Amino acid sequence: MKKTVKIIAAVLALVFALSLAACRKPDPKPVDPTNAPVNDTTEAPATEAPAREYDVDELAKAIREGCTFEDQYVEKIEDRDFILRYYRIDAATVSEKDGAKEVASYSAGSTPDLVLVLKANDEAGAKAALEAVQAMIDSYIENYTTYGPEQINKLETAVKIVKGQLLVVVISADNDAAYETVDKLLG
Amino acid sequence: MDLEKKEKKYTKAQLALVIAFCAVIGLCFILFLALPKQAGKLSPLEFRVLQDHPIKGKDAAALREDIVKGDLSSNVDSFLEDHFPARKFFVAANAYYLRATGRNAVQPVIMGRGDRLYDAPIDLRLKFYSYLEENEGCLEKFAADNGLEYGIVIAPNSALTSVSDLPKLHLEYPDAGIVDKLRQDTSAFVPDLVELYSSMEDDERYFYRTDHHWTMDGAHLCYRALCGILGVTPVEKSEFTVEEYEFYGSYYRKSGLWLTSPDKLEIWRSPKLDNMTVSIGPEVRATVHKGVYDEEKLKENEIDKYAAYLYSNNGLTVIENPEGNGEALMIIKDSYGNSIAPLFAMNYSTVIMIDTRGNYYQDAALPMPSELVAKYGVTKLLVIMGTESIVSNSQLIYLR
Repeated sequence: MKKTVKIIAAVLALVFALSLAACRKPDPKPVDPTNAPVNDTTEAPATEAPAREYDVDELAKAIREGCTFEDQYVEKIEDRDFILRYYRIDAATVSEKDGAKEVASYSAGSTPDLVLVLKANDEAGAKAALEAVQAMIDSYIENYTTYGPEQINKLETAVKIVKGQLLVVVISADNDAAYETVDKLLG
Repeated sequence: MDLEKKEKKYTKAQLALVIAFCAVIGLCFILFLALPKQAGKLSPLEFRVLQDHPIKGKDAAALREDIVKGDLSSNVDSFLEDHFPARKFFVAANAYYLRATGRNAVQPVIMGRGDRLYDAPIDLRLKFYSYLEENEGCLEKFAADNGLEYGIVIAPNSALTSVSDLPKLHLEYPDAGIVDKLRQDTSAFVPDLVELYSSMEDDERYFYRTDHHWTMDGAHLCYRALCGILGVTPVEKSEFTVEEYEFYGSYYRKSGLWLTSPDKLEIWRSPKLDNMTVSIGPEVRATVHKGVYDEEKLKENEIDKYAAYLYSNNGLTVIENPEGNGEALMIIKDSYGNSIAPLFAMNYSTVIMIDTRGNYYQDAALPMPSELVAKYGVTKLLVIMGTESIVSNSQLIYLR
């Protein structure tokens, strides 16, 4: 009898252990995608030294060269104003350098592969920009669900980093590796 | 004494219940461990990629990251859901149970009479579906800036062409109101396709039973109606050779109603269609095909056979017909355009198709739509979309 109780206890323990999987984070696909919660941000610690200056063009280029993309034609979009309009990012919240908005983007025609680097006026601006980009990613997920389900995983696991004023978004063939690459580049 | 016996019996019954419960759970767990997995692979039934193994191939740092972010438990949960023993059976059991209890009428995919599946109505209260006015303004501006005569063709939800076949408790479809609004707010010609299809006696053959698209007959009926407006002579069905291919569409894949019989996709053949050139992507690195059908997508093991029409959805597709009328037609479209565009290519020398939803503006090498209008001397534009696309952020705002 004691042995039976032990076995039952062990099985129940196993069941409880497995049921812990129910303690998951919320479904990444909300009912209304434009109101998607944003929780994939890495904030700069309050005690961090003065923020390092990044050149968005150089950083975007380094990410483009350092990550693996499915589409061989992941190319730079030169029209900076258009990039902001495309993602519905409020241009007033984006920092300027030499009269040009500090945003750089590489993207592709046949896949959702993307590198987007943006420097906002402040951290709130970077987070607002991420929300706008997330809305676009959600609309891509809607489309690819029907026509290209193999792209969904890379969209759902996109690298999204907010570091101070800086926003980096990468959608690549290997987002885990891309995260490490971006992490190294950001120091 | 009696009480003691009863208690013993009761305890035995309780124990048996616990053992049975654990046995079922344990059996499922053993089966879960033992059965082969399709982790990270495409499920042909549901046309989605199943959750990959949550731990395999990850080093300690990556695992730690997953645990901190809450991704590990989420991935384990999804992995269990996707690889649960007899998952296909349980999904179907739930779908048919909902149908038996009348609750299928408010599910994302509704089953009507005659083994027909329908999409639920879109909810215009959602922000996601609030872009109609913005899209109207963008189309008006683009047409005016480029001197284009244009039409907006809204492929309705198939449910509207056979409302009497829907379950009684179904929700209302807003499609008619959207078409009315487009007629009021724009200078475009906007045909009422609900009326067109509903007026036909055999209205069931114009949309697939298991997919959201129109059939070739449905596309052809629309094409004929538009030819009158465009001033070209429609090519009749009798001039094509028709081939049929069995397939299951998008509704089927989402429904869980696995006992639904397969659908039939028609391919209309013609030497003229075979002789057309289809260029996909920017001119500098375009993929060029002979003929309008992707024969690979018609093979038996292919899931999405509708993708055979014009090689699926691409930012820019240009069809050239050496036997055309010397004119060019531009079509801004979603996937409904893929099956109807070859019919217009039977008349026109060039059909330029733009799909703004996906990656059109993400491709740095693609020209602006207005540059294409100038290059090909386009004077007429058709916007061909399903209801969902015209009210969503289909990125028409960037037409320039």
